[in-house]
Amino acid sequence: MNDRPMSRNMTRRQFLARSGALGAVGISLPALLAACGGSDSAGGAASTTVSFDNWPLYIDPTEDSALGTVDRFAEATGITMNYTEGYNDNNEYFAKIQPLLGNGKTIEADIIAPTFWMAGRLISLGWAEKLPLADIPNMANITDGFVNPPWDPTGEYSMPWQAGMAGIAYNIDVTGRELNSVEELFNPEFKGKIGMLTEMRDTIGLIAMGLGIDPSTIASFDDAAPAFEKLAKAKADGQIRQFTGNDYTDDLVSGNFAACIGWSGDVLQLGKDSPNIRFVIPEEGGTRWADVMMLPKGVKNSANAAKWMNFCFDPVQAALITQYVQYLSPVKGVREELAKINPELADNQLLFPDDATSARLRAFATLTEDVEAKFDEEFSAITGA
Amino acid sequence: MGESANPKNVIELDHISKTYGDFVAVHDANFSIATGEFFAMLGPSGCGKTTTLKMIAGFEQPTSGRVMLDGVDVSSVPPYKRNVNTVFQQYALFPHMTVFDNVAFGPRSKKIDEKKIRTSVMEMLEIVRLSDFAARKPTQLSGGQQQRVALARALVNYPSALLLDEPLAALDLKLREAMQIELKRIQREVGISFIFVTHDQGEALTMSDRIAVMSQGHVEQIGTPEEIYRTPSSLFVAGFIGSANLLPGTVESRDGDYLVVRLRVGAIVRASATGTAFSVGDKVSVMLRPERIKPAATVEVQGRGIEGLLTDLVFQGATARLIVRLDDGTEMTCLADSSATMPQIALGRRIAITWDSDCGFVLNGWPDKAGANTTDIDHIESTL
Amino acid sequence: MTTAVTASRRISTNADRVGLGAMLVAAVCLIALGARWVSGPAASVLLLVLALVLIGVLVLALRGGPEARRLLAPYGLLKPGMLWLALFFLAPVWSLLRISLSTKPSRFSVDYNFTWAFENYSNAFKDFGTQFQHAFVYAAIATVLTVLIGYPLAYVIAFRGGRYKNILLGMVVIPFFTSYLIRTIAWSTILADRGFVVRTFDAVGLVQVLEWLHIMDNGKLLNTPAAVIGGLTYNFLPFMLLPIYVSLEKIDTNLVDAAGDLYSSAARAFRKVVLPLSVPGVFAGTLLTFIPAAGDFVNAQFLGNPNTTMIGNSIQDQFLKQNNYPVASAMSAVLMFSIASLVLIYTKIFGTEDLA
Ligand SMILES: Nc1ncnc2c1ncn2[C@@H]1O[C@H](COP(=O)(O)OP(=O)(O)O)[C@@H](O)[C@H]1O
Ligand SMILES: [Mg+2]
Repeated sequence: MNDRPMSRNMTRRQFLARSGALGAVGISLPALLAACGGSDSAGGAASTTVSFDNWPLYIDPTEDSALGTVDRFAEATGITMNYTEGYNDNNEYFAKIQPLLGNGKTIEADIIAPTFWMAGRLISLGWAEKLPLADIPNMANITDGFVNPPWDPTGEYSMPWQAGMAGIAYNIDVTGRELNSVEELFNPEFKGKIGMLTEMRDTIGLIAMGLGIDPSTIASFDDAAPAFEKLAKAKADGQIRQFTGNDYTDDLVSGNFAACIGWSGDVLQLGKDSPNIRFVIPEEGGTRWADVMMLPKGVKNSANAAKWMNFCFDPVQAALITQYVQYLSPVKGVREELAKINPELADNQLLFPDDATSARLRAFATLTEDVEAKFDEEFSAITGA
Repeated sequence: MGESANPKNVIELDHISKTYGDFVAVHDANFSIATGEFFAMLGPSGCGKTTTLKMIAGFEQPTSGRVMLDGVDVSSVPPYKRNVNTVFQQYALFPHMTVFDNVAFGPRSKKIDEKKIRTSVMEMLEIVRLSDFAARKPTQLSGGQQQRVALARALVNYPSALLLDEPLAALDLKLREAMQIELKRIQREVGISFIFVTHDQGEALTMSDRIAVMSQGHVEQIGTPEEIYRTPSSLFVAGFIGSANLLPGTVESRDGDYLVVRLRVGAIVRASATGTAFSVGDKVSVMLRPERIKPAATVEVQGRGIEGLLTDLVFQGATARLIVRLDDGTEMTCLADSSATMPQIALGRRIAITWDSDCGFVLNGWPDKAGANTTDIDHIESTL
Repeated sequence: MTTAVTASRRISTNADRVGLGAMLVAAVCLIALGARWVSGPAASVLLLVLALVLIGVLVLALRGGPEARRLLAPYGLLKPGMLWLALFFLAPVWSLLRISLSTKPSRFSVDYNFTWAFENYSNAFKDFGTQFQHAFVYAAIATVLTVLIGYPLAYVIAFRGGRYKNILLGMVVIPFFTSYLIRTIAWSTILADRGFVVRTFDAVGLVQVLEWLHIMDNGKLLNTPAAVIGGLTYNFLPFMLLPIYVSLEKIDTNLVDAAGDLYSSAARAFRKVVLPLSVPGVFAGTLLTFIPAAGDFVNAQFLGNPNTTMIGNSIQDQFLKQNNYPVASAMSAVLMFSIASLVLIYTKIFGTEDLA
């Protein structure tokens, strides 16, 4: 359950919590449609199509007279994009593509949007195709933190799509005070009113930071063992109310959760209607993540995909996407462009964290296959699933 | 009818009525049933027989009037505290219990000692000749056997009276006849009053000591089968019991016990009458049972016969059935000794029909339509 | 040609045995194909065998005369059922059992090696004992609750419903036309900490009582075992109510009158007549409720907490998240067989075939 889709208004987000829930039980309609739906990418050099399977509500759509990015791309290049929202959960998506890619077959989508650690897994499994970097001059606009990232050390396989932070989200009506420490999640005062994410790297990562362990340097299970122990104990004590996906926002707003681990973009949107919902990167630090664009092995429309990536890394285009999805943009110059169209957003700390905040953020280390297996197994033993 | 508190009466219905909303299902029923009597309630479907029975059993409360059981007013006593038992229309045997458990149900409700129950149940199964079937389930029995289980289940409680609601209706003809005899035998053996509901007049006539004929919620007549057959109190009873030729006419004069009636067809006949007093000029019908009419070539004695066209002649073995159309269109049925038919009596001829003057019976009023004579051949055969 | 005819004549006297044999061969072929025992050229060979067997039976039926046709007809009629069973039940179960005893060469491999890996089963028991326990205990309690709620409801509708019967039944059933998931999620809103129910309980001072009864916990109604059991009870109520209603509806009201006529009070008439006659409905209802409830994961996911997860959640997690098909299959197999044996024992004890 790693949906992190964004939108400006509550109704969309609520819709999303529902679809997240549907996805959680394996009935993701978009995923099914994406899996079944044929595309007319007939291959060949002269192809004028490309397909992108992304997370729900993760791009600006064409609304009223304003064209969305997909249509602006078509206008600029003449390439028709078949844009689908088949992503709901990294592991589920993996389970879906595994039988194809694992057997040397190709999948429908030309561009997929795994989260960084899943990108690392796909790269190491050899299920990703190299990007035609020469055709993506806007590569130069990738922000420094995402150049040759740990999950793609040579930078040949992936381009970041959007990034975000995980920290502590809380409902001040319930807590009665501001929170500023990971330790608050374990405060008996909030027993049974704490939410954690089913996203292992955010939950374990944040707890690790609370314990002074840098998640970006974790290499073995032993490194993270104290975080697992702390989580296991909290669960056994009844401290944790639920492990949730994106739907934590419902529990937070309704007051079922006093506090939980949350994602910056969600709180940015929630704050508009519910000023009692707060988000903080705790003093111990927070985690950082990114969803990336990459090409599955055997991709058919690689050249058109490169044109798309290049288009999205134009700061003018990227600013329009950011304005809609409200996550951290990996594109240089977006803040300046955004200032022209939406100065208020351009000054938002949750969209453009200052250097001091950024310095406190860590991305979870890339785990080797065996270590990752151990982490997943231990984590699922705690979440009780 | 309604005798007052007679110790020999098991059941007394004291002017009971039952209405459902505006609809009167039973109107002012007022009669008694004596100990050991086989009493039939006869009437067409929907005339209120079941409703009356249910009021006796206690499943329905009378809207007005009282139900007396063994001389005690039980009008507000629930069924399970009334000492009468019912044999239901579809038997209502408990499908999940064996024959034995079905029969033992009543005694067990009364918390009688299980040992005593065993002997009395087996005794009763003996009486209904089902001793070998005690361990079977009802579904493993034939219709007649189920019927007898239902009887045993009720009788084992030795109720003051047994209520039977069309108990034989579901059986085929052969079995029905056998069960009629069987029921009579059992009734004699146990000596309990049977109140027997039926819409089959043949059944009522052959089995009962007394019959109450009902129509549209009213009790039309109560009497022995013979009384009801010979001297019905109304056109309805005459038509419902057996078959009857009804000749419309008007009272001409009185002649001792007889009335002289001018028939609509013109003839003047003599016929007996009881009960109701008639005066000259009254519209009446003369009832003639088909088996009492004789065909003849010509009318020999005035006042004893009429003429008509022979329209149908059916040879039936011992008897022959003749249909004669009178001049006013009335059709008469005549059941004659087949050896008595003669060559002059042939289809399409005018013939005479004659009868003894005490065979005609005067009833008040005219039938609804000319020739509304009922003919039930089966019944005539069985009652001859 | 003539020899073939005489041969088929000779065989036709044993046509029923030939028919049975052909059906069995066909079934094995179908299972083998459905479960992917064989692939590639071997599969084509098997298909050919299947076709030959079926054509052979057809030829036999046509050539063997009316007698042979009469004997073969039942097998012909069995065919759709057998096909269905083989393709949609036996083959998947076979696959499941096979995978449950397999190991994967590496975590993300798409291949399984059949290695009699019984450790999958011991792992399933070792790691998920609590979840199995939750599944069976919660499902059992929910089943009992559905009987306690469903029976009186069905009784009132069947015997006191009068002409409102269908409307009342509709009122019971119509909420279940909405999605299972939506209904369950709706409950999480209803039972929320600051929701209507908890606030009402709080106002009337019921919270202490419910906490003492372990129905509420630390001021919470949602995300407790009680909420999970309540959700199961709610969601499976129609599966209990409808069979009970049908069995009550079938009871001839004259039987109740007859019991009254035979000196039974209303209570005894119910105990001795109505209750025993409705047992088949209760029996069917318990099976229809318990079996899916034991495998349910939706209620525990939305109404439970991390300490109330049921085996369905674990199986889903192992299949979809952990990619651990062998252990997930082993868990499914254990769940399937434990439910099957529970049902068998239950049927042996309470089975009511002569009442059906
Ligand atoms: N519970 C009831 N409500 C309304 N009408 C009824 C009820 N029971 C019987 N009736 C009506 O009363 C009349 C007499 O019914 P019943 O006693 O059953 O007749 P039957 O002589 O055929 O046994 C029928 O017209 C029937 O429709
Ligand atoms: Mg009746």
